Amino acid sequence: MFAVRFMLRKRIAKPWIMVLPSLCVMLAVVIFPLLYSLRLSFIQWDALVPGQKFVGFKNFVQVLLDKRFLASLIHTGVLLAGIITIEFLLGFLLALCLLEEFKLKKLVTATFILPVTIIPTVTGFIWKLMLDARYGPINHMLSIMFRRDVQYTWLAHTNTAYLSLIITDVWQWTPFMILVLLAGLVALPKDTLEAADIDGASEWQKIRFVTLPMLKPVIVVALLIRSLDLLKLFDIVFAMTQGGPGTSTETLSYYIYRNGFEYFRMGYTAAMSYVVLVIVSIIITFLLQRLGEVT
Amino acid sequence: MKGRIRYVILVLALIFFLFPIFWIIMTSFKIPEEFLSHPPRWIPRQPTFAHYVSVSGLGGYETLKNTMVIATFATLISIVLGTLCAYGLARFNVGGKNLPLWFLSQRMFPPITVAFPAFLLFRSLGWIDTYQAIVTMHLAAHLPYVIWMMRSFFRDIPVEIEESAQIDGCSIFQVFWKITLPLSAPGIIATAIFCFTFSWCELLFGLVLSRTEVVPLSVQLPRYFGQQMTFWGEIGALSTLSMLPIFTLVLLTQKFLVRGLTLGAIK
Repeated sequence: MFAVRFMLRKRIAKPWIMVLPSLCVMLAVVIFPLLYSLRLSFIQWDALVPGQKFVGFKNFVQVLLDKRFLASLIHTGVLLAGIITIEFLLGFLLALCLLEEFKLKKLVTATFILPVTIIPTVTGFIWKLMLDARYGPINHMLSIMFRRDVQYTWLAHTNTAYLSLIITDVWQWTPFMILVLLAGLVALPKDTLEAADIDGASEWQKIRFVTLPMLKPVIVVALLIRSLDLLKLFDIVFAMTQGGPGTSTETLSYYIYRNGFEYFRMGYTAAMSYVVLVIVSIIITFLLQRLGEVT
Repeated sequence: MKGRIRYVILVLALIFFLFPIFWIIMTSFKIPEEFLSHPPRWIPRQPTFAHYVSVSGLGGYETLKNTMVIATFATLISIVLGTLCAYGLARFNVGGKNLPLWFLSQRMFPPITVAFPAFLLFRSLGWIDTYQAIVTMHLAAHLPYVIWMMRSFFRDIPVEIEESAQIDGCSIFQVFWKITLPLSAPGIIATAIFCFTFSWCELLFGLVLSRTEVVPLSVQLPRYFGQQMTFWGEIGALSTLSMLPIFTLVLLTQKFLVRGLTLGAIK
């Protein structure tokens, strides 16, 4: 390290110059808009009411009393919980299946990457077509199974609209879980599992008491990353349900989007964004701690 | 997991993950009578390329070009700036432990919280419906990612290699250019491909910052879905076209895929 230290002492200014351009860009494209939006959040500025006036914390109080905002928080929570649970269980099961060598393993793993690389809007439309009441293959398969003509409109009923969104996200992002958990499983030390074998542990006991505890750091990172992605859930809602039926699948991001770009309530949107920022910051802090530890 | 049950599970999973892709590709080759038939037809009997032609009249190829332009510029700029910044953070510890984490945190906030004020600011600049507006906002997401990933790749390179180059008389810049960059080339390429993919898939900023001139593919596709009529054939064609390049690119980086997806936490 002596050379680096020597260099630092001699030309202390240089390393800062490397960081500066990026820092300026981030300040300009993220921090400046956020400060601007902070100012907006204390102002009443509406497309319907002329003029802008300072109203203090009124916008924030309104957000916290807004039933539709709280509902969108719950919708996001329900989707997040449902999606993460299924993705983890399915991903873990498939990662275990892929752990041992077999002939076509490389090809199969590559195939699982496919959904992750598709534009989420496209994914939304693929599943919209799959679930189409008259022309979709899902209803067709159900028709064959139940021996009667099924023409169910999946996205027009609240419960099945949720199910549809969950299936769509699970389809796209379970491969992420598979790949991450598989990487974790491959890196586990073999001798612990062998010791468990010698002690006569069953397959289930080995997973429950050896694999899962050792895999915990990987699982935590995977779940946190997925949680952050799901808190911003927007694309597939935009493509598939537009928040409907009614407002029953409106997520946080989608409700903010509507306030800003459909109802043009500037101050209110800004205040709502800040409430969401506070909520998300808590999860981000957890994830950053983890990432700070491992990297 | 052993035995036959494992293969049963894998085959079922493959069907689940592949069938929707098969379906959208098949739809793009079906004539309207076939994708609007009840019950649906699985394989087109008279395969047609008509939708790949007609999608051009609906601006499909235009949006493909726009997406390509946005993704290319956003990737190039963020790689150049981000790599430099990452080197400063990794080797000279600029900003200590917290600055890298601060950069990373900028990527994790829901983009909608920035999209709205950014939209208002760009509107007053007259930048709505321009490439530079969308590229700029993509930078906000890519730059932290490049910085964080490249910092981790640079740290994989033993510092002794750089020190010996310095002793041989290289300046800092020469060390960076002749030693560090070539050694971390695979990492740079993988990171660039990830950025390109993020741009390719991005919806929100494209949606709020474009009108007619620079519409990306992800924004155009929903416009083919109408109350009276849905252009399923064109949706199928454009979807199919959007899948091929990214899947090919990502397969090239398979080795770094997990590392890239988990922000370097799992290698």
